[in-house]
Amino acid sequence: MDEWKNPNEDARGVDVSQIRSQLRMSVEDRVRHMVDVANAFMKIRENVKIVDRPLGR
Amino acid sequence: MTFDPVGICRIMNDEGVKYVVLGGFAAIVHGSPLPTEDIDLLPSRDDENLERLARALNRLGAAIRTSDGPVHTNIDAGFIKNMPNMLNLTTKLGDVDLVFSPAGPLNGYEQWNANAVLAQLEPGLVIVAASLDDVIESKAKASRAKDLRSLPYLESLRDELRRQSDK
Repeated sequence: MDEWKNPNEDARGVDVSQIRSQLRMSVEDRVRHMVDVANAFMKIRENVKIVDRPLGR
Repeated sequence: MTFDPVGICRIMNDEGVKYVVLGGFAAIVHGSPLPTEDIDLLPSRDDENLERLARALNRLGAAIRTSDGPVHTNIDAGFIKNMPNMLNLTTKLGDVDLVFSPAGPLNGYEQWNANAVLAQLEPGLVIVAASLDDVIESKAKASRAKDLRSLPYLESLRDELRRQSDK
């Protein structure tokens, strides 16, 4: 069976659509966007709670 | 804590600090899609600049970043000058790493600055960011797990920038 491959990935396995999306933005916008992403990650990490309740029990 | 690297650069520039932004944040300036939660700065080590840097760090409420939490100490020019390679700090605007001897063939502020680009982060705020080639070379040399993970993305970014400039 053929292995499915993301058509946006290059030979390194990098999704080039994400890079092109960054490059379409101005430097100011891309920095603002990436800072927002970093802050979102930090907020998730601060607030996340792992609920250890296996399904079916 | 909120990470505000633009605010950190604003205070550095306001104090007239000479520095080059390295690492993941410099890569973002060039178009990297990989987020980072700290900013790496390579400051010039001349005495006047270290005085300016110490003023900026004090405005930022900088403390030494350790695995047990922040350690508050008097961060002045003499203290910074005694740091041979790196100083990991936490500030009210996020984590700042002062990197005095980045991995790779380039030696110090002058050589990194020579290849760097100017980037505007907001009106009136221009920073000096390491070239993408230098960031890639340094990460390849450092070879930490997180550097090696980012390399394919940065190399593909470089390919894409070359492709776009050839058009």
